[in-house]
Amino acid sequence: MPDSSRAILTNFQDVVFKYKGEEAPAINGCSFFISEGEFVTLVGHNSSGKSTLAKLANGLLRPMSGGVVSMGLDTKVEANLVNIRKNIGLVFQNPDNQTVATLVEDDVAFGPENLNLTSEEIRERVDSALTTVGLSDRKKHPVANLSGGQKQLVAIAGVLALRPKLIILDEATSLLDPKGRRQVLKRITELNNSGYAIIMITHRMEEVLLSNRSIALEKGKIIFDGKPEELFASRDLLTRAGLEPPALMDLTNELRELGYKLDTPRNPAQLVEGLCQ
Amino acid sequence: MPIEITELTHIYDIGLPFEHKALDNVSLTIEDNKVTGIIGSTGSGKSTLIQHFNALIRPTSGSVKVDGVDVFSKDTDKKALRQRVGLVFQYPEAQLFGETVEKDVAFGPKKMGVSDAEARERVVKSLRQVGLDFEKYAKRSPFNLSGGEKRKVAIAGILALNPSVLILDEPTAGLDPSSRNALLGLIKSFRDDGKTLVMVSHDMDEIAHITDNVVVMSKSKIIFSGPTSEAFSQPEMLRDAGLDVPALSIVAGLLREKGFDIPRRTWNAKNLATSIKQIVGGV
Amino acid sequence: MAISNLIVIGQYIPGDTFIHRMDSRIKLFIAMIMLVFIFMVGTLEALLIMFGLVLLVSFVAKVPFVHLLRGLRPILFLIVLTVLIQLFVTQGEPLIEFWGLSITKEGLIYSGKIILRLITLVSVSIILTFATSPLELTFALESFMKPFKVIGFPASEVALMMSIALRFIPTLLSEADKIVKAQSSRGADFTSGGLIARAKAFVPVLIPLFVSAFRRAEELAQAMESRCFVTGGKRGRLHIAKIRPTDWLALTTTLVCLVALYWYASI
Repeated sequence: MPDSSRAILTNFQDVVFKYKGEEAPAINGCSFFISEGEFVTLVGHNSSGKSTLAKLANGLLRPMSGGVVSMGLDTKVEANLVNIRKNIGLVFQNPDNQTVATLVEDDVAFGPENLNLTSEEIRERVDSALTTVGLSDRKKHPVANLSGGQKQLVAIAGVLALRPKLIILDEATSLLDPKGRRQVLKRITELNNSGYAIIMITHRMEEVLLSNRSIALEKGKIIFDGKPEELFASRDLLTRAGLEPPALMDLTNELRELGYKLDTPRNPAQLVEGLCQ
Repeated sequence: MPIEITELTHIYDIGLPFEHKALDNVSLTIEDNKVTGIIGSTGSGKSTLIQHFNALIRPTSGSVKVDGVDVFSKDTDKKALRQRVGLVFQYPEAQLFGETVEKDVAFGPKKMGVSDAEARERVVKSLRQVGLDFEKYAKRSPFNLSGGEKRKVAIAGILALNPSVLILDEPTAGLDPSSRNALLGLIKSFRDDGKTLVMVSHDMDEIAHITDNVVVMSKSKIIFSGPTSEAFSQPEMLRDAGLDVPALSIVAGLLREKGFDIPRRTWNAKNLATSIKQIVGGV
Repeated sequence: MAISNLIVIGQYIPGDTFIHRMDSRIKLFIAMIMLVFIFMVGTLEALLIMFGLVLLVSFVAKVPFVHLLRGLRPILFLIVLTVLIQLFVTQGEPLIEFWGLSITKEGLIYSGKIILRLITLVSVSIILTFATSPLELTFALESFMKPFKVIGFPASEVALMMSIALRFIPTLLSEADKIVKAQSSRGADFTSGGLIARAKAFVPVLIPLFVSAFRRAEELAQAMESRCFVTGGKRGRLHIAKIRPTDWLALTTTLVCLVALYWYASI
């Protein structure tokens, strides 16, 4: 839930955004804010405006009307952008297209180098970011030789080295295999536990379950903002958000129809436990 | 057409520091008129394996026979082979290049020496097979379509070759759930056309849903080959291969551990719920 | 043969050899003077010795022999062509004569020199890129371009651009490889027909490759901006390069060897 007792990291006020040459606006009047330490998932069909929202938050795109204030700074002011982006990191879907250097440590160093820090400070940030994602033994390896999951962790480390408050992941697990996905999700959960706010754009219900708050978009408008469980309770909302209930949820619903009284399980063991009672 | 793979080994970059054995003495028979799934984590050798089926890459040793014909033999007409064994690559939309959807889909048939009239007929047919209306899409540029539509056009480009064997490498990767379901429905319909289908995937629910047989690969070797239902009742084996076990198989397994006699098979939500009511009872 | 295996020049393989550890500016400088000397040294023996020295360096850098051979393959055609021309065109004392053509002793020696020069030249480039990461290499280039900053030449940006280009070469090559395979699966044939037919066959490869390269470029630009990159902004550096005594020693040794060789060849 939006928590106004904590510092607000990014604040959208009636934001409208339209891409050049498109008729319908990609974002059509969105208002919400994200506070320190939150874990939010952003869901919706392809081209519902999720990625656009992410790019508006760190000033890669500027709203046509309304305003985005990130870290207390207006994204429309050019001079604010570096300060905003230091604090709001963006990890993209395809790790291959966000790696700038051949070797792991050189790639992670790219952000801090842009901040014109001293060599010692860059080294310190690179090392601690790589330790956080568990890749400190791969410093001198070529990024190209890593697995998909590891590549995405390098991308996350590259953002961490900027010491951000909020990390936005734009379908960062969608190109990974199950092992890679688990690897990345584990680190994301850890990051949130250690205080980073997370916005994760996803199509997967099991990823939505990791978050405390879910925002659903449809055609550039927010159609839901609340607890993931409430989102799952409505089949209509799920369909409109382009989410597919996991098999476990389907089974639970089938069993309920057959007369079982079951709580919504978070894993197979919980369901079996419920059945055996 | 069955595919027989005998003692196939493939080593990339022999003699270089990054030498890598992608296939290690793999033997396998892919049955006729069945859907065979090839599963395994990234780097297990799945993609390398299927690229041998239409002779795109040559093995270090071993052989592949399609319908009894050695694909690597000098006498084998590679073009004709590739017409019979259609291979849809991962993210096939990356191969689109035609000015229009029609020209792109017609590329394969024309290269195979089909007449213009026949090529057009095939374009109409294969677009219909992937659920795209010819009138609506034929003249559009493939680059202006949505992700799901691009993928369908690319698959139509292979279907237009009229292959007897269709191999799909991660056909649903990166699609959103609604495009994914649409595509899975299509793939099922290809099986009903009597094609031999091979599908590479790491989505276990998809595999459970669609395949008759399954081949599990791990570290360049085949660790299981047989009916899908059998594979899915061995969660340990799947986990060792770095794969996710489908949630319903886990539920069935947990219930078996509790002493309920749930059969070993692939499940969907409806029939598992019915079985649970019969066997576990309680309501 | 995959396309990605064809181009070996520019392939960096991390390692921990003496050559890998050398300062990139010294390495680049040594490579440049070697290239100059390759054309200054005039006798067959001297060129042979020079090639031997280069092989020795490749041994120290642990460049696999297969890697060198692969790197030489693309210029094989060039070598054969120039050798054939020189073999028949060079005037002098005839050794063999047929169909009114004659191979002369001078032609043979001249051809030998061309072969040696070309393979030494390519080997030096292969070893340099094998043992120097793109980032270090572009740093070295940037250092050499620094004087031009005075006249407004954007040395740092050019260097960053080059290192990113080098970083994307393998990515784009493997992409090209994949597209070639995908189009081959649709019946495209890249190996038969005349020159024009072959060139035309590559259209279905080049178009998707460009489309993808533009998409990648766009995404990369956004990723770079997200990580606080500002064009023309002052940037820090993770590695502070330091030229160590061993680097100076390596440079001196090379210079002494080359000058001695030049002197030997000219007496």
